[in-house]
Parts: sequence; C-alpha cells; structure tokens
Amino acid sequence: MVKSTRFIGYIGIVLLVVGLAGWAMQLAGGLFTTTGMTDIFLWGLVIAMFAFMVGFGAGAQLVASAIYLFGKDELKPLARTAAAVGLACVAAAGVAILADLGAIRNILAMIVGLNLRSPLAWDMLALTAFIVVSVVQLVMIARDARSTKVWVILAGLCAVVLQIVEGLLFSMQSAHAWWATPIMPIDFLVVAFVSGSALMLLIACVKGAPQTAVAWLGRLCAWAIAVHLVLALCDLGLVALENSPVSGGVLAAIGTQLPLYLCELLLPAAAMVILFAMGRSGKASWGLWASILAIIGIFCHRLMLLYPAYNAPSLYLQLGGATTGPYPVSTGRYLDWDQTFALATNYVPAFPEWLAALLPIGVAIIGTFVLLWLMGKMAPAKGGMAADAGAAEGARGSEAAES
Amino acid sequence: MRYAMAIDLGRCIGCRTCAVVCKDFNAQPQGIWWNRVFTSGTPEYDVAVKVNDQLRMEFVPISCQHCTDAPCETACPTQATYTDKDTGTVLVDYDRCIGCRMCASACPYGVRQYNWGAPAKMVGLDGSVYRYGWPHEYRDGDHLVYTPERPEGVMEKCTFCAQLTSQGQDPACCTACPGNARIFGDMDDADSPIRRYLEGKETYTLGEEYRTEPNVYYIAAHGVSQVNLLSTGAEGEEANHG
Repeated sequence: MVKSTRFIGYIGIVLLVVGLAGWAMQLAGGLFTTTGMTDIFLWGLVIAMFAFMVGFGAGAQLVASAIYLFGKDELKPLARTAAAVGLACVAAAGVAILADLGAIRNILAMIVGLNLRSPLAWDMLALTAFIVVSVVQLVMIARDARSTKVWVILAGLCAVVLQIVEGLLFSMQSAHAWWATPIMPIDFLVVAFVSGSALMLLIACVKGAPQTAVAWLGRLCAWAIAVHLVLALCDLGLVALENSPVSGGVLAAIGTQLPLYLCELLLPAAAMVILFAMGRSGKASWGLWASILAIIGIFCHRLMLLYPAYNAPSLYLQLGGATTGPYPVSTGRYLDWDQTFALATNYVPAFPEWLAALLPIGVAIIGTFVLLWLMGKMAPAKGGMAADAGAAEGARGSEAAES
Repeated sequence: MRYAMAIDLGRCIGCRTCAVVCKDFNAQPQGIWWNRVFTSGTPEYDVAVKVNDQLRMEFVPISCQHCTDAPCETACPTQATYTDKDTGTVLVDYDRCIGCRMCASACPYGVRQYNWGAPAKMVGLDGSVYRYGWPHEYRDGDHLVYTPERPEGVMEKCTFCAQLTSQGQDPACCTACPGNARIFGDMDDADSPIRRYLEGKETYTLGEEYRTEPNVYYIAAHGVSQVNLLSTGAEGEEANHG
C-alpha cells in the first residue's frame, strides 16, 4: 500500500513540475502562440480542467459531509480522506483559473476593485469561503474535536454554494444558449456528487476499503449519474425544442463534436449500470472500472461545456422582417490561420495547454498528501478518541507523504 | 449626457472604410478589429441573400453597442470594464484588466477583442513595420482606456474614440464614412445631430432578445425597388448556366 501511495505521490510531483512548465511557456510566449483559443473560442482546456477539478473538490467534500450527516461511523476514515481531497481539488481549481489569466500582473484588482455583480467575483468569494471553512474542518477532524460534525456539515454547505455559483458563472451568460439555462447550476451540483463519489470510489477501491464503503459510494455515484443524465438530456431537449436559429447553431456545434458528446453520455451511463449491478456486493474491481468510466465521462462533459457554447453564433441579423443568418466575429488569428473573421473556430488545445492542464491535477495530488500529513501531525495523543480508524488513516497519509 | 451612434444602413455602401479607419486610428494590433462590416445573412462579405423571394444585399457594420445594461460590465470581476458616468460610454481600463475574458464571453455581439499575447506589429510583405494610430495614451481620469502600445493579455474594444470625443470631435468612423451613414451625438440633447437625424425615422437595435439596451441605433435600408430577378425566371437561367 505504501509503495502504491508513494508511486502516486511521484506522479503528482511530475504532473506539478510539467504543469508549471506549461504555465511558464504560456507566460513567456503569451496565450497567442501557446494556445488554440481565439476571440470566438475564448476559454479552453485549462478552464475545462477548472470546472472538472472544482467538481471533484466540492464533490469529495459532499461525500465527507454526507458520511458525518448520516452518522456513518464506519466510513469516517473515508470522510477524513475525502475532506482533504476536497480542499486540495478546490485549491487546484483556483490554480487553474490563475493559469488561464492573460494579465495576472493586475490580479490585485480582484481585491481592490472587486465587482460584486460579477459571477467571477462570487466565484472567488465562494472558493475562498470554502477553503477557509475546509481548513478549519480539517483541523477539527485531525484533532477529533467535539465540533467536528458541525464544521464538516458547514464545509458541505460551502461546497453546495460553490457548485451553484460555478453553475451561475456559466448560466448567467445569456450570449451562450448552451449555458443560459436554469438547469446549469443544478447540474453543476449534481456533477459534483458524481465526480466526488467517483473519485472517492476510485480511492476506496485502490486502497482496499471495506466492501460496505465501496457499496455505499457506488450507490451514491450511480444515483448521482442517473440524475445528471436526466438533467443533461433535459438540457439537450430544451435546446432542441427551442427551434430558433441560435439553438440550431448549438445543435450543429454538438453535431461536430458528436463522439465527445456521446462519450459524455454513454461512459457515465455505463458506469451507472455497472454500479447498480454491483449493488451491495461492493466488488472493488467493478467499482474501480465504473469510477474510471465516470471520471472520463465527466471530463468529456466539461469539454462539451465549451464547444456548443462558443461555436454557436449568438448574433443573427434581420432583413426585411426575416432572420437572415449569423454574423461573423473577428478571430484574432489573421496571420496564424489566414482567417480574419469566422462563425466558429475548430479549437484544438495546443501542446503547452495540455501541459498546463496537468498542473491542477499535480496540485490536487500533492495537496492531498500534504494535508493528510499535516492532519496526521495534528492528531491528539493516542489513547483517546483519536485511536480510531480515522487517526490510523491519517497516519497512513502521513506515512505516505513522508515516504 | 448619453453618447450614441446611429447607423443608416440605407446609406452604407459596404466600403469598410469605417473598419479600416477604426483599426488605423486606434492603432489596433494585428488580428484585432473593433469594427467589422458584413452582408446580412452570409458569413462572407459582399454576398446577396434571398429574402421574401428577392435578392437582397445589406451591409451591416457592427462594433461595440455601448449598452446601457452592458453584460460585459456586469461580468467583469475587477471593474476594468465600466461605464463612463459623464457620457454613458462603456470603456476598458487596461491597467485593471486581468485577462479572464469573462466580458467577451458575456457579450452577444462578439465585439470584444483580446490581446492573446504581446500585440504584434503590422508587418509589410517586405518585413518592414509601420507605426500608425493616435500616438498618445488617453486616460479617462485614472483609467487607461487607450494606449498605442497595447499591454499583453488585456481586452480591448471600441471606445467611441474617447480621445476624440473628449475634445468634442466625432469618432473617426463617423468622420471617415463616405456615405455619411454614421451619425454620432448625445441622445439626451434634443438638438444634437443624432437626435435631429433620427427624428421621424424608424430604428432598431441589435440582439434585442439579450435586453442589453444598446446605444447604437440602426436605420433599416430602404425598400427594394429594382425588378425582382427571381420572379422573372432569372434564377432558373442562372442555375442552368451554372
């Protein structure tokens, strides 16, 4: 177990270093030469990674909070890990946003000139609130304090708020029909449950957690996927039924990315079927495969957040009382592609973007190790409540991080 | 005071002078266009479309609509995008922009242009670089809203030529338009050129479904007066020749 944990730690360090190199390339060369984004396709892989990671963060926290809320004492060691993973992933998501900024030198304006009407400002506040409450929660868990349950539930509420705000960040942009639906904030929350439970299921299966834990996580993940798929299909139905030029553009953009869209739907669906079939047996191999399928599916879902939004024109002109067609936008890529104006651009992440996208994953892995190690250090002396499995889990984390 | 612009599509000849003058006067870097002109209904320039069984070709110039309820201003987390209280013009402070691109993402008109890297100079075929544009930076109070040397990674867009309008002059696109299709002025002043021009004319604004309350008003092109070629069988002949 220690060997495999050490191996994951090494992977985390490699991802962190490679990701930092990718970010450095972007800072040095500018986003023009180091990304495939345009003035039409404004956010790329790193923002998809942000939405991906924040889902794991909030979701892992929701798993931890659910364990405490429903008094599942036998799963508390898992909750300890989940809480640490939650904080690490949310911090990683914050790093992803920073890595995507074009003028990070002006970042102080986010403090001295914060626009409280901006969903991105709400996002920063929600992210900060989550991090603060989560840190207190981890200290409480590590010290096995009496108020632990209160803080774990508070952190869960912060995770709910965080995911709703993330959803609002997109759904409040009426310029993009793919985002501007009331379903978006709810689905962000549900996707957090999918992501968090899938990630914790993966960890539980790898670490050889008890069958009861695997089964419980499997059920949570399966139901979350079921709700998510219903919402995703409702989203598609709303667009299809709108029958407007804008919605037609969204459907066409989905069509151009059909394999990705099918992966978004079918992989989690397959995971859901496996998990429902697994039932209470808690077979680790089934849980492992299902969690991997669900995680890949959610990654596709996060990429598909962008394509149908940016590659569907928002402005259609009228002539003689009839809608004539969409209006082109300057791509900002004249010399690059010999294409000054276009309706859509075929976004393919550039090599430095792929590297930079690994940074949040590295931060999440190393962050989790460091947090578990710190929690192990903060554990009260043995003999009391701390002698429970939770402390043992912390000690394992500590051992792994040290090794 | 509320600055606004009227664009009379019946007077627009689609010469794109406004787009070129705008780019030149405001020293827009390579690949950046604050103002663009396309034919309604086609992604190509200068192509007719069939509307109500008639061939129609209407040029529509589009730049920042300087919306009263600007979604870009709401979206901007740092107040880098703001509305100048004195004129109602929506501006971007380059010193406050963090380059998150929320504003461009929120804009339904696609008029915001991003400096993806260090802005590239305009280079001739012989490799020579030429300088162009208003040579001095312009500040609205403390806000840096124009500089010929753009900072890397910030958003930019039409300012209604703030460096000119602050001196009582019209934006460059209005002055340069050979068809006098662009009329600028103060909508709060009943005697302003724009108010006088718009009197009795039917106007519309773009993207009304987004409820942004634009301050750029369009006057639709005149009705179709020429012979309907499509109804005389010319379309069929054209197809046969094709």
